[in-house]
Amino acid sequence: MKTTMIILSFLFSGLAFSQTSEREFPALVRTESNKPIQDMVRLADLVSDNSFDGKHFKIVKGKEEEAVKFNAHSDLTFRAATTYYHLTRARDYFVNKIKSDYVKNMPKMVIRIDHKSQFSELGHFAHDNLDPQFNNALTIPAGKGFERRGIKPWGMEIWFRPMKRIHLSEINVNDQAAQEYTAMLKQFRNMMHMQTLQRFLAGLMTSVTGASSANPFAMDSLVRTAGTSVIMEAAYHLFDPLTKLVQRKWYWLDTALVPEIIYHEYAHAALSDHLVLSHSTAIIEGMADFFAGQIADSPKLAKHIKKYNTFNGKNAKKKQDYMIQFEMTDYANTDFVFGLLWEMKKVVGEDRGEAFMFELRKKLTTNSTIRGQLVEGLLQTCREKCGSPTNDRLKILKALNARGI
Amino acid sequence: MHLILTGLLMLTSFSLFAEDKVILKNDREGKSFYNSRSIRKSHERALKGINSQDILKAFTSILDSMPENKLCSYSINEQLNIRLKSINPKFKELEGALYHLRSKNEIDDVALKILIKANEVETTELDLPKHEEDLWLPNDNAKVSEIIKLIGGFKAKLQDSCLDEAYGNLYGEISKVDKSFRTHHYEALFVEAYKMKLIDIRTYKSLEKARENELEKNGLNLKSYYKKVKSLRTHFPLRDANERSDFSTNKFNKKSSNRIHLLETYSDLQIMLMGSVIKKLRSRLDSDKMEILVYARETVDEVIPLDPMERFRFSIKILRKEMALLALNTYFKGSSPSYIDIMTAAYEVGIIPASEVDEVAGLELIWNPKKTFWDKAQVWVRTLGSVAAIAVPPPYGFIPALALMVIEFTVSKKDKNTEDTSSLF
Repeated sequence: MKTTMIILSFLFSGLAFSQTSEREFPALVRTESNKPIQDMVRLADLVSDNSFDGKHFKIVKGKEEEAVKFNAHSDLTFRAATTYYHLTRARDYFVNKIKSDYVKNMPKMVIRIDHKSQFSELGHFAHDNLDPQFNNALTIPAGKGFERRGIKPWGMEIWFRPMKRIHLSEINVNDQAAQEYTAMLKQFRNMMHMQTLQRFLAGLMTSVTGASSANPFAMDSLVRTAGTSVIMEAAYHLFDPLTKLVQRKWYWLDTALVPEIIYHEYAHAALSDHLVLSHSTAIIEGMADFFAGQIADSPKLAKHIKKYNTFNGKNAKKKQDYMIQFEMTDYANTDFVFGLLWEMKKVVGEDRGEAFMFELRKKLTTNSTIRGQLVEGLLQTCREKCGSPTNDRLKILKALNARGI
Repeated sequence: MHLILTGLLMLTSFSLFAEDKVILKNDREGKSFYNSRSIRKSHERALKGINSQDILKAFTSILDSMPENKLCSYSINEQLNIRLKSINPKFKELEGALYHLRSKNEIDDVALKILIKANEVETTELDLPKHEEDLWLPNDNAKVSEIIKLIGGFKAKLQDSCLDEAYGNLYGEISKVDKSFRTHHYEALFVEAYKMKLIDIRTYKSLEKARENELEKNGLNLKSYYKKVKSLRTHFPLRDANERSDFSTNKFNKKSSNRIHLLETYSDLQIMLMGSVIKKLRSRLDSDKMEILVYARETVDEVIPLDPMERFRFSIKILRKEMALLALNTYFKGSSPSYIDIMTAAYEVGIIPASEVDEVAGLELIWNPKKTFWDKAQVWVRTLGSVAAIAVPPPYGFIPALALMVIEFTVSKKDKNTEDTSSLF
């Protein structure tokens, strides 16, 4: 009898732990046309009936350990529901579509929203006197903790920072489009000056040879000639101040409300069996962008979500040529690798592209370079996974060559 | 390498003609080069007169009874015509029957071209008799009598060889006597030989048809073609005899596909040498490691590994160098094969499988990119824009300058790899 009771109690407790529930909450989702809307979503695998604590994710606020309660402030529950919903989508993608055993067996993750602390490898949260963090998100590796200081071990976590309006002048932005535009303007200016000089010389020649009675030194002629150059010069020098006057001045990004950022951060976690979460590089960010794009089913990340961000987003379809600077960590967040991998997916075939890229992670490390290990990895993965390895490797090489790698 | 190839070629060439049955079946070509509307109509007309099985059976039995050293397109056409007419006396579409043989892969485009040419020669209508005043005999009587004697021996040669081969030999012999003779001289010489009864009317007609059809320019006859392909297959047995590629039948020029041009232009040894260039390219492209070794006297002082794209571009550079070096090879006598020729050769000997041939051939676009409409147009826009920049008065002078600048930034994209100092190649 005693044994039967023990067995029954074990059975019941097992059932109790495996019991999950679903609840509906308002969250931010994308429509089929990629527009952000607020809609009711069903949150699956919840293990708590009063908080955002699920089988695979626990959403907490800041440094807290308790999950956000369902009856908390609506702004907070909206963020919690949005992150929970999209993280579940991302996990389903890796488990059911990519068939990743690593993700399937990954322990429950703590997701921190509205979390300002910096990350410390030793202490989990850096000291509060360090600058608070805003407008970004990061995935942190698991840590062993520090028993003597009362710091418990922690698992892999995703931190979403609160949004804060920051003046653009305070941010160092690698705006390539603006650089290209400035280069174009400079060339236009040079052309216009050369044109003015040519016209003046042509007028002088025709005047000297008697082919024309017009005097190039006449006042109206001089005014016209010099005027063009003056106007051009004024336009050139006024371009920067005018741009600054017209363009937006404030930047903010509510990362917990941008589905693609949520997918991107979860992709970091899903790829962390090979791409260790130590620092940000072009490749590690590009790989996470690729899978975020796959989950979102769009080559454009974080676009059209003006209400919550003024971030320009990333576009895999933007054709960019390789620059050696892309190997530097300063450029880790550009969309070059994202675009490159998106293109490679088409080269190896849309149907096998995802599996190919997931396999590719095995050939990479966090310190891999684009020109070195990424290209090598693409070629080696193709040898193992492509339908027609020789042909597809050649296609990859041609495409990379066209990009100037 | 070349000496070994030559030795092997000589050794195996003795056994080439020892084989019994002649097989002309298509073992390389995809969709036929001969695929125009008129050809398809001719094909249809032939099948209206005689069914497919009868054509195939007749052709097979003719080939079975023809020894290799007697292989002749004219004889095949003659016998095929007789056999098909015995089935249907009204049958007139020999050309259509030949196209049908190609459609069933009994022959390939090269053999088809030779057979079609033979039929053209045979069916040429001659404008006889010739008018005395239109004939121009060379002035040198000694040379004329020597050549007439050569023409007199043509009938005997025709009994041992095919018309195209015999005519080619005769043309060569006459050219040795005097290279400056033109076709109208030949016309008069043939008439003269006939008038002197050194040749009969049938031989005369054959010679005149051959002259009118410029048979001397024919690079390939059926026997030499068969011998060439057989030699290639002996030295490079095909890994997959069932693979077909449309690349080999792509248009080379108005009259030839890539493969026809290859086999008409190059010898079997040349084709093998060309194939070996691609063999090396393929293994380089497939390699996972390349290094430059810097020696200090006898020991390696420095190893410079190439990154993957450097390996790729190095492979292309060395390919181009090897292509250029082919022209210096004794066997090529200064002629420089194109990349298309080399690719066709590589496919012909089976070094590149059909599934890869288009992709490897596409490498040429890297050093020889196709010019788009805008590439061509920008030359004119630049020229006109420069003139317009001076001619257009202010305030509209900025328009041509703006147009030029937009072209500079959008259309003309320079090859950055060549200027990139962060990459070796």
